[in-house]
Amino acid sequence: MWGELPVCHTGRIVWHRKLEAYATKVCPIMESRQPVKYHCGSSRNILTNICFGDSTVNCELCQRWILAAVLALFGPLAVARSASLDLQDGDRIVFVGGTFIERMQQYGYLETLLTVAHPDKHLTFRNLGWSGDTVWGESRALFGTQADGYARLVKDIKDAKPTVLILCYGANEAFARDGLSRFIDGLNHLLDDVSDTRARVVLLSPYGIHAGPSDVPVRNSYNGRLNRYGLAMEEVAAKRDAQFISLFDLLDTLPRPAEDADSDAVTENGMHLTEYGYQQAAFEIAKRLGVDVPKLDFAAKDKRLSQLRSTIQLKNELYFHRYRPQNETYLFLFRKHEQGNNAVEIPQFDPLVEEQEAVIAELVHALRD
Amino acid sequence: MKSIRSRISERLPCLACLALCFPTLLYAQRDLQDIPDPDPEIERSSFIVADGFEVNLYAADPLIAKPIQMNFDAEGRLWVASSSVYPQIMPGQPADDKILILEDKDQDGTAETTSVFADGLLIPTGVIPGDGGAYVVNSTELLHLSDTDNDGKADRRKIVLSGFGTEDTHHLLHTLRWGHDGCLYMNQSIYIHSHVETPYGVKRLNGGGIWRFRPETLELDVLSYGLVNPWGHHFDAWGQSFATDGAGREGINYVFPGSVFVTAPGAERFVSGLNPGSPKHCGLEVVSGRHLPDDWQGSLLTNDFRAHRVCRFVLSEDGSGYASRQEVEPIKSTHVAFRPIDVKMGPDGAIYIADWYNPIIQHGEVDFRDSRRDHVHGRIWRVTAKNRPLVKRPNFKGASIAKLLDVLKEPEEWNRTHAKLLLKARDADDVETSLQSWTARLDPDSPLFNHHLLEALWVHQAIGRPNVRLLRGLSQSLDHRVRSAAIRVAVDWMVDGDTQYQHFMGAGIRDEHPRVRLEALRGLAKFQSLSAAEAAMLALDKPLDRFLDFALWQTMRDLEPYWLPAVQEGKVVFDGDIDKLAFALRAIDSPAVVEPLLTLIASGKVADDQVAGVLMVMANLGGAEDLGQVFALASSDARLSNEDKAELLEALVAATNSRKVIPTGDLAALRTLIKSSDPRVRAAALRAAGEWKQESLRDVVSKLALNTNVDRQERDAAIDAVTAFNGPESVKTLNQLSMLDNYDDRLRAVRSLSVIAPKLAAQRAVEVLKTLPEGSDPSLVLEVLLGRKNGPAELIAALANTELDVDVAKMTLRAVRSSSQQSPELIAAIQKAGGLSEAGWKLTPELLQELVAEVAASGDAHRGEAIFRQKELQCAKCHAIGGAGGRVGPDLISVGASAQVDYLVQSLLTPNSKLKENFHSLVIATDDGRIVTGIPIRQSDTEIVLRDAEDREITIPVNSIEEKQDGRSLMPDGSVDQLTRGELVDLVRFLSELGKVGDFAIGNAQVVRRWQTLTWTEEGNYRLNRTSYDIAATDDPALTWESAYSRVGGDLPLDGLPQVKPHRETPQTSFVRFDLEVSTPGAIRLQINSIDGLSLWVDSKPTPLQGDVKLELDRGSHRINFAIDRETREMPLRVELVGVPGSEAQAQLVSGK
Repeated sequence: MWGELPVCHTGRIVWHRKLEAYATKVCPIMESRQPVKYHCGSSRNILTNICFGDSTVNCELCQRWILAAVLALFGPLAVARSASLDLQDGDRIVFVGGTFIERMQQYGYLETLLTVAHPDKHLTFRNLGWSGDTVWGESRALFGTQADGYARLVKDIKDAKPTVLILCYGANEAFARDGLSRFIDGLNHLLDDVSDTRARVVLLSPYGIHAGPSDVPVRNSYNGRLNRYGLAMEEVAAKRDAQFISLFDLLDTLPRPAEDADSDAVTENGMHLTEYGYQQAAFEIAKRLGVDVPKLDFAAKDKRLSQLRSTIQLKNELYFHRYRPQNETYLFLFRKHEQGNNAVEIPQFDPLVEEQEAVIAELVHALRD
Repeated sequence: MKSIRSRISERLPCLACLALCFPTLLYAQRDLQDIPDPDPEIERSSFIVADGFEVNLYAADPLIAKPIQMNFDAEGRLWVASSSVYPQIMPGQPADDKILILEDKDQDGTAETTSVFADGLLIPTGVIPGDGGAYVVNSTELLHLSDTDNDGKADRRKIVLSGFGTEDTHHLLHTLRWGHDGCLYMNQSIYIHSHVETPYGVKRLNGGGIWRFRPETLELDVLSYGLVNPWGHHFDAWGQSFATDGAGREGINYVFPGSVFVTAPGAERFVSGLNPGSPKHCGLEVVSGRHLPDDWQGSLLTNDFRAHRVCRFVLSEDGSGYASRQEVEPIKSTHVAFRPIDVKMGPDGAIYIADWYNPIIQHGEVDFRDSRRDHVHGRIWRVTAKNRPLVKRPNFKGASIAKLLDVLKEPEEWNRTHAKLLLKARDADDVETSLQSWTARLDPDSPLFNHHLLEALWVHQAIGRPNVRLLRGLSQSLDHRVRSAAIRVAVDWMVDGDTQYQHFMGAGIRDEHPRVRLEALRGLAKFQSLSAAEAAMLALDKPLDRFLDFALWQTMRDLEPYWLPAVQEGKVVFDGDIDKLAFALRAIDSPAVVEPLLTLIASGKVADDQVAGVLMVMANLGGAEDLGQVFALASSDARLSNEDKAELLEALVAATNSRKVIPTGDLAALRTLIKSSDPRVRAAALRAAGEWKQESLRDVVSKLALNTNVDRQERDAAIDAVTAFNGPESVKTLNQLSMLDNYDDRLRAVRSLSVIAPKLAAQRAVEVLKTLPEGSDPSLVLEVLLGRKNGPAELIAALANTELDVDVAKMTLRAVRSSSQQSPELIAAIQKAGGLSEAGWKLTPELLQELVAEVAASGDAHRGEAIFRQKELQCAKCHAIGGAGGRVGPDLISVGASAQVDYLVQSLLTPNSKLKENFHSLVIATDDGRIVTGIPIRQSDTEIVLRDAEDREITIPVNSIEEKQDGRSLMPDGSVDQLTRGELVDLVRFLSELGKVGDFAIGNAQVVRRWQTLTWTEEGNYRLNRTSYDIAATDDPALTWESAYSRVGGDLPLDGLPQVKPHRETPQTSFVRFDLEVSTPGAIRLQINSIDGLSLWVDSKPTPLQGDVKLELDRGSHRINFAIDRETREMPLRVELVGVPGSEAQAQLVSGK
């Protein structure tokens, strides 16, 4: 039980119709019928619900406050199992997850950072993010059953031949109430099923989301669950000797642009990152991975850097057409008798991907010189 | 003829060389005559335009290419999504598709400038301006692109939503539409599986459907499920939704919240469309505005892109839903590349048509890389009414809130929608304040007063500021359309756990107008409580039409977790009304309902006349013990009639068959039941004895099976029972049956033995085939055997060293080819037995090329139609034309307008190479040794329903499936083997004309196309002889009817209709009948081409016939019978359903097989 609620009385009061109703009804700590309204000076507000023992604290706080309290009570959340992501020569890094991972491939910031940080390691990357996906492969079923979706997830991972597997699940699973143990089972199951790749595993926790634009009511207690999912993932990582990185506080740690410090420049909608957000997140994630982060300035007009990043983006696009081609129904599934002859085109993306990877290798060397 | 052939053969060598270098070029050359001159004026001059209208070119290539969707912005500029990458990106090809902006600055009706707003896109299938930029569908994503530096090019790119499926690029998220409520509506098609992350959870939609999205809050929900390709969606002035389908065939679909349409995955029930038997449609616009004539206001425009037509439908109210009637086409054309796919009203009140311009439209059926696919052309046409002033474009620039509100009074939906979108962008407080004074100043005497208030309510909705007072007022409006819309708004404003809006539903469900009740029902589905379920059931206090029936059924399923537990706890729900409870329990179709029902029956609370209905629910759903209870009651309860008893016994037997549940308890009463005075009870009891393996009754049953003096129906039941008993004794009995000296018994013996002794069955089958009576169908002999796992192998063995009559062998071949298992070895064995050569069409590229040329040069469509109608070919058994005919294969109503000739030839000669969307078969092996092949039409967690080649729906429990795989086309190979080359050419010519402008396009008239005709049977003739012709107008079981279809032109030729002559003195007579379904009662008229030689019965009543017939019909099904005196009449029969001025009646002809 949390003794006293750290309340910040300064700043403007934030109002939300739907939240107000909820907080009034549910919050057991605030026995008064007054709505719970807190603010700590920032305009970024999150409805957070964190469970301690039997009690639930429901209040509208900015993320940093809650985390500060949690850190004070339990010590740092982000305990990396290994000091750093110790990348080896020739490593194939495969990202798997939902929208957060999927959209990374369009921007390529994290890949660019990791590539530049390891110019001699001949790293290659595959992004297998799929919106709405879960550890059960729910988004990959196409016409099949959930089991088919899961089989596809496992196959996608194996086909990508990872030596380092970076998984970020939990955000979608956490919408279910009482779903934590099922999620952890699913995560373990997935890690078991891809263990024969012998890839080193890094688990990224989901990040807490903001309330978003114009009164989007974040589902009650969703962020609280996200936090618990992250903590449970950390236990999984510890048991499996995997690296764990907490991103729970990610949105709040990302620097805002100097000229627009008060805006939510890092997310599109309180939930998904903007291009700027991905850029800043790349630095933060690389740091937490234990990488010696190169000091790159994407805003500066560095032609070589932008060329490197755009090549990475192109490579990702080509790989997307390879692993998730359009018209799968006609090329590979039950209408393949019509267009199956054109399925030969899909592996033709492989040399194109490799071609771009060769260009990336050249560019990264040039960048170092 | 010869000259054409020789010309082709002269060309062949050079084409063959070309083919070596460019294989696709040869393919392209084949139909070169179909690649038209792209001059827009040539295309325009092909248009046949509705009287009083004209068409001009607004924009064309090279300014635009391949327009997919278009939408105007508030400044009157036209935004167009254009893709040249479609259908599939090539390795190394850049994704460089574009969003274009067309502008007609001088407002002369022609765009002068085109600018590229955005490029680098991958098959953008939708664009709609809004929120300071435009929403664009980019395959997996919904983007918002905006231009922040005003250079006309997007420089800001925001991913709004992502996770939309791409399993088929002509199904990608599409049809972006701003709603009357300020929401963005978006559609996706059948093969798409979407998984979208929002702050409210992951929204998943597998299959087709219409999304509703509020960009401000990211709320994303599904308005309706299903439809194959819902490529059109628009609202009428009262906020009701309508959709068209680019692969379904039901014309306009009335869409309401939670409605479920054909192909929705997991659905057990579908809402059907308003125009069954229509061709495919793309785009939809409900037109309005001062430029168009009065009789066009509220018309629905859509495009028959396959047959090069822009279509117009007129709606009328019909109960809770609508009836839809087709009117004269605004545009039709013979130009093969005219592909109208989108239709929108413009800022000037004119109609704009996006023309995708392509001779090739098939997505999957034509090679993605076929060089005939056009990637560069595209047009926008503008349709205006002659001599009517255009609408003055609204000038929204700098308009005040008050001025924008005033626009809401204008008749143009275009103006009102843009005004609302602009209001949404203003400060919500200011808008809310202005709204108050605006509504206060409205003139209550204006005929549009209520509509203006409704627009105000929608503005409140759009800006996210609920106004309960206004809502309350409108929910009590005198206009049911306003009350319906108010309920929809109340549902939207309802917040989780907040019940203040439920009373709107409570009032709505008691409303006198069925549509208000429909809206209230779907609203109540969102209130998760028992009281909502009980309120919903009040709908049953008034008559249900098909939409209400669906809505109530669906609502009870949605609310199951809130009312079923109460029933299970024994609480009195639904005011103790057993009808209501039975409806609810039937709706959820779950075994959980059985126990509460038993309790009800036991407590005597069920009214006498409802006992049978309740027992039936239990029989359909219960476990073994429940079935035992049902059996006990069915065999003894005095409240049950013999008919009830028979039905219950049949349901119990069906439960044993489908769910493998056998009633427990004492079944001794069967011995009495098989001696019942009622023949149907006897038959049902006999089958039950076999299915439940009541060995003590075996002797009795076997004797009945072999006793030729017993009535046929009863013997058939006994034979089935013997089969079900199984074991050596059954084989012995059936073998005895197969030795009897009559075909009927031997046939039955073979079919039964096929199940329990396939080897013996095969031997006996061959013997039967050797002595097959004239006119008998071998497929009946072999059907069961061919549907068994080892059936074909046994038949091959039995055929060794056997000779069959040539004709029997041919018919047997056909039977095998349309069966579940088409074994090439078996086909060879039959050919050998019948001494048939392996002849048949061998499709080579050369032959294909020759046939294509001959079709154009010498094919005769009229002769082809006669061939299509030949009984032996059985085309209509599987294919309807305009809804008349079987549903196994695609309706051919406009196949000629969409498919190329080479495609048609291939489809006929090698059917498996060409399969239409939605016509992919599954082959299922079940655990009882059956092989079932059919087209999946519905699938749930517990069962799959297939439509087999006989057009039967076969339900297969999922837990009985051993193996399931994709099957081939249900169209048998060799279907046209017996045709001569000339006949084949004529047939293809006929098919190629279907839907094109000319003799073979189905018009807008409601002509009777699907008939039934009385066949001659001894039993039937005897019956007619002993009674009167009146008997032919009844459902007398002694009479056998078969289907007959009108020609495409609409008349039913009398040649070929069966004739009867029951008395020596009566003339040769044919009897035909058709059905119609009346949804709104009233007067209708039957327009008959000539009454010579006709007598008429309406619903079994003889009705005098003098010229056209005017009928007053109640809601429900009606049957019209004619007797045709063949000695006085030769003229074909044509009957058309026409409206009666002033009558509100709505009637639809029943179509199908």
